[in-house]
Amino acid sequence: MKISVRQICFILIFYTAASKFLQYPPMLSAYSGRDLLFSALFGFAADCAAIWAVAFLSSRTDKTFYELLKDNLGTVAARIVYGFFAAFFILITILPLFEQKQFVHAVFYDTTPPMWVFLPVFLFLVYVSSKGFTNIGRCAEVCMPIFILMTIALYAMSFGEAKFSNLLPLFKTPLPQILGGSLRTSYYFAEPAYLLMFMGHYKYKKHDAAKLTLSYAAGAVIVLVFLALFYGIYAGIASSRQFAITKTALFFSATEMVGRIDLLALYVLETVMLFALVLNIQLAVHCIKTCSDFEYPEIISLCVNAVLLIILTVFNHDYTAIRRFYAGWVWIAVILFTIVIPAAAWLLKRRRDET
Amino acid sequence: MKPDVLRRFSVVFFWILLIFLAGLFFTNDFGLIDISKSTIITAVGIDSDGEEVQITAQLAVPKPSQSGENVEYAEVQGSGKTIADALNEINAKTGFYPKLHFCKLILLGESCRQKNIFQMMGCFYRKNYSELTALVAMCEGKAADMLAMKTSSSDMTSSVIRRALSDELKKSANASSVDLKDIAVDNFSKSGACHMPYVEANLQGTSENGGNGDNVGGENAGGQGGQSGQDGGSGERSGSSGESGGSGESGGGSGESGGQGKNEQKVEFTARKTAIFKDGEFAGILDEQQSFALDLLKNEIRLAVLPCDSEGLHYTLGLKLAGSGMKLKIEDGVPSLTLRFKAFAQIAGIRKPVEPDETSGDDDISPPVLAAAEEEVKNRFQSMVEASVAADCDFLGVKEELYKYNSDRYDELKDDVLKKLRINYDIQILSVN
Repeated sequence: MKISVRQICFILIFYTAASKFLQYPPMLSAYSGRDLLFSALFGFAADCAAIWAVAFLSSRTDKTFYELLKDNLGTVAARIVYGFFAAFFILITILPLFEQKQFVHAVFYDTTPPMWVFLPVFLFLVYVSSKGFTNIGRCAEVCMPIFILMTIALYAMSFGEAKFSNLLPLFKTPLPQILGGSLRTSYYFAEPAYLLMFMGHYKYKKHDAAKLTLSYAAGAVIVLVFLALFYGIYAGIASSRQFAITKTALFFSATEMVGRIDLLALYVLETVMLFALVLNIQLAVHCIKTCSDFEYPEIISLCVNAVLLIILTVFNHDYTAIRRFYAGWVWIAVILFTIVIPAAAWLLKRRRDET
Repeated sequence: MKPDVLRRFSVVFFWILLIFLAGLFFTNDFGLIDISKSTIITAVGIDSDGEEVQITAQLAVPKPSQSGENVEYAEVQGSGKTIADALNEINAKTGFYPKLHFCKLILLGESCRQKNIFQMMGCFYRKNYSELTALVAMCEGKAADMLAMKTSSSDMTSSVIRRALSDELKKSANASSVDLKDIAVDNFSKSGACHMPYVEANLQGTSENGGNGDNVGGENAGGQGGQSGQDGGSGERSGSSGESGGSGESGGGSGESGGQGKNEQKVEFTARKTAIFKDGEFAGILDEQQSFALDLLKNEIRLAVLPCDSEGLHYTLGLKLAGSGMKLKIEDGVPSLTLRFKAFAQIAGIRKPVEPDETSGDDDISPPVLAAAEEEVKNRFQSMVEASVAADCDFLGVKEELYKYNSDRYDELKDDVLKKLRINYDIQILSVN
């Protein structure tokens, strides 16, 4: 087996949280206001169910999702589905990649640097994307202590300033608006699709479905606590505070004396955010490799990242338009690939391998 | 199987990559800037001049020095339709694009009373300009003049003003310190009101009598600021900024705070009054007692000093371990606000000759004195609420409370909740021992 259940649990806890620390909180604040926690809960609850469904499906078969598709629908259909999954993973990488670029430029530099300053990140992306599931699992293990320590530090620095009563009253936002907020930010939620790709690459043991689902729930709790902290600090102006994780520890009393010590934690946490981002590209490379039978992931990685680089360059100044497009339309793809297809996977005939 | 050539190529590729990255790393300037060519904005004064905004930036100018003082302070002024225009002018004068990450104080001059402060300060809430941690205060007179005043404790006037707004003073109910974030959160809440300290300058070494134990400051130095404005650098700034055009490209001079003005009188600052705003518009000033009550209610108090009279004697009590809050209920259709305050008191001073045998009993205060202290706090709370109702300015956050805890009645009561308020006081002052 290429990846262990423990490593997948780490991915579901830490990457789930790290990928939602930048723009997800202000966007959710803009759409759902004081009820942003319910918008987030709706998304997490739907994905929890999907993750449980995929994990439980793994208990019924040792096959990969591709093998299941091939056995049931034929090779061509399996290749097409995997091709679409590759496109989906690329799609949900684009906006977070723009956000990473803006984050690095706005927070780590005193004055906005030229775009090429961000481009060396593609060296990292090309390299890591060419690696397989074993590498994904090991990276998650490396990220685990980094994430825990840095997140605790940042939360601790933020806690004193938060006024949680700012989240009151509950349920005053109309339900369609709460659900709308959830849908419009759904491109941050691809975890069930991750698990679908990991299927058959890990050895399922008893209760693993519960472990995986609870791990995702733990990641959700980390995000929910952060959302509460963020809104508790900024209340009605939360939607204007971009790159949320960089804004919550500003009011820690020690920063007055010693400066932005929270930036140290942010620099380190950025590592985890990058690994969470690159996981999408790794899975896109995996899908293309699987559906094309092309043996060289390095070349696929190079091509996928070249596409991303072109998009990043061509639409360099169109972040707002891209964000509007994602908020308006990408939820359809997200629901299809993270809810509908994982649920439909149960319809595929399966037989546990005897080997 | 991969061909060996690809495997070999990948090793070569990663060596090239490593060398390339090392090249990038060692050829980067890491964003370092020449310290002798840079300036840092430590404070900003904002004045309104008709349609224009005048910005006075107090700059810290680092000077390479082997020993002694290695920072000089100067004020540079810019003006324009927006703060961004004015900052651009400052950029042109200083040669350094002024980001406001190190700006720790924003001072609004009295002329800003005619404007919406969130229109004037909108720039600070936009991306990359400020982190919203800068303290905000309104001052008497022109902000430019106040920043140009001289103090004995520091060349950096803004740091002395910040001391008058410090966290320690906030915890002793002597200043209602707030930052950019606080006023925006309050203003964009359902209450639509905010408050900030009102800074006054007094001639150093003066203290006025009166106030029944409350410090009422010293000899006002407001005129002194104007005087120095005419004589010194700030006068040049005011004069030339008046000539500036609408595009924000001209006007303004610069002056140093190091003693060019003829008037060498030193000042000290207090911020015991509080300016209140409704929907960003100036709505009035709370006096010292009302501000004290607001501080008791809103801040975490470590040690506040409360004067009171009992049995013909004047007492000064130290209030410790204070807890406060307010709760809004709807009783028989009438909004009922309970202001709660509880603290433990000890005697800090009595207006009579000290008896060494009696000082050991300072922590055990007699019930009449405690009752007088409670009455004093109640009177100050009452005065504060009356000021809120009179100005129709909900700086206490009553509407926000109504929305949070009685949201079903919010639409019905929001328009006249302040006028309908029934106030209850739950004030307890106990002896420390």
